[in-house]
Amino acid sequence: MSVQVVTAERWDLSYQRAFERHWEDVFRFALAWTNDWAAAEDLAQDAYLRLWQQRGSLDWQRPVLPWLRVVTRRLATDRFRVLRRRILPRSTALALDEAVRDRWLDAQVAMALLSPLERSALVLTAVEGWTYAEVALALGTSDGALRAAVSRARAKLEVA
Amino acid sequence: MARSRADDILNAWRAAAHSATRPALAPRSARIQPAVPFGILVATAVVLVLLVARGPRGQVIGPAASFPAGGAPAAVPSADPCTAAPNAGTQLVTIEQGPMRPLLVPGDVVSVTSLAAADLQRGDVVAFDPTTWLKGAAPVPFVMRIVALGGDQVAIRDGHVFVNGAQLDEPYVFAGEPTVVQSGAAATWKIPADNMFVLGDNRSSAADSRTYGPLPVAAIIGRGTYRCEPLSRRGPIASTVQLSSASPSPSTTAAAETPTPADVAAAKQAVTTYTADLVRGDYAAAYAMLGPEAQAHFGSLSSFTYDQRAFFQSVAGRFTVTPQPSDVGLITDWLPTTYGASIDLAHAVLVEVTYPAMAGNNAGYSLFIVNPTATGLRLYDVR
Repeated sequence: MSVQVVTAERWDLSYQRAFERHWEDVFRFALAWTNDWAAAEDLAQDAYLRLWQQRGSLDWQRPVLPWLRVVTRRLATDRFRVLRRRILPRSTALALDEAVRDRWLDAQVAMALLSPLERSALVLTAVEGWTYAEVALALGTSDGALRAAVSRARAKLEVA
Repeated sequence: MARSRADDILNAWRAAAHSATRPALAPRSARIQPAVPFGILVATAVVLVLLVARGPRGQVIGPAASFPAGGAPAAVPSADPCTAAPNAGTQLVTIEQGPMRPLLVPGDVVSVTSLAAADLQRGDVVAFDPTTWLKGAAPVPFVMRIVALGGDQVAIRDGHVFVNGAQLDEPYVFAGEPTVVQSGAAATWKIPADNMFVLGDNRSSAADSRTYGPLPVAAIIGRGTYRCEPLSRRGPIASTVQLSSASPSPSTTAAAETPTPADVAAAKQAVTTYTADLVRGDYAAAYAMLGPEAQAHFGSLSSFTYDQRAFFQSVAGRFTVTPQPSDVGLITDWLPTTYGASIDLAHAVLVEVTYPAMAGNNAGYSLFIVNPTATGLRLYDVR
């Protein structure tokens, strides 16, 4: 009946929980979109900064992950951010094991042939196991366009 | 059959992306505080506030421009008290010394809210500018407790403080130390208008009004309402001072430590009346029964009405009121911090209301803390 009283402590706890539960999801989405490790870490951090800034106006009773996904995509498509990414040097994901890193760098080259939308569509459905509805919501696209992007992406990778 | 090239790429992507580890979450203080050392900011802010707001004496303390027309704002419980908002009259003060042990120790951060001079009360913990007492001192705020207001007669004798002849009951004094004056002799003060008598809780070491005399109201920056750091001791700062020979308030008649059956019956009756008012559609009457913090939580009568009307249309007029077992732990489990300071835990009663029309639904029950106050029972919705 009553509106939940959200005190500073509860925000803090909710934020911490959102960080611990969803950081990897947000990062991998950002990685799929940008195809760049450092840019993805940057984006994930910015998405959580937005979450912290808006903690007072957010409805914490509802799942926070869809909100984070949409914010991440909006941040990723921000015009100035795209420009900034172009002038920053590409990172080579040094925190990884050598074998994993080499395969990742190969994959990164092949993935660079896809558009951000195609790459995200394929990775999120095929690797991350999101439903089509979730991906469509996060990418701001229709179900049909999404399915087309997935199959186009797969076809491009086969010949990469 | 060989796996496809696309699957190879996706597997490589998975191996890398899933080995990413999230960074450590910065502690909350680091998330909200600026990188500039905090003391410098506070000192600068205080100097600015003092320069700007030392206008006409004793009217409004703190940045005058911060108040909307209509007077000083009540503390808004839903706002984060630990986010300094100068335009809401709030600032954060770091404790530098120990006159307020054990409540506040050096390094603690207190949220200080400016307020009208008339709203200052005995027992309030206040931050003030020490330069009125100590010419040339660094303008870092001192934090102490008001024990007497303008017009009061203060006496210190036999280790106790007497205000207008009544001995203060001071549970907050550090280790129950006696209050003495440096000379050792008894001392009395007549507090002029627009002055306060302030003492540190750490009576043996604090240099306070016993040494420097009454403090002008104009020096007071605001009331310490909330201890923000350390996180382990986060919580509201209560304003408590009791004149032991003055008329006892409900909390000083501490004979019973738990509510009596009559108290429980009265609480049940209060919640029944409240719910019946809502069922009848008399939202104003129900709203008037809420405690001030609970009213502030709803915002206003109109938002309360909006909130309740929709719900009580589904209730179909049926409800059952059940007082819960008297257990302080049960109450504190449900108690939001914003209500914490105002609830008399030893005498409050937790009362449940169930709505059969909504049974099985998460919205099928409400909980209220019924708090005895000097002006009757007040309801606090906790669920």
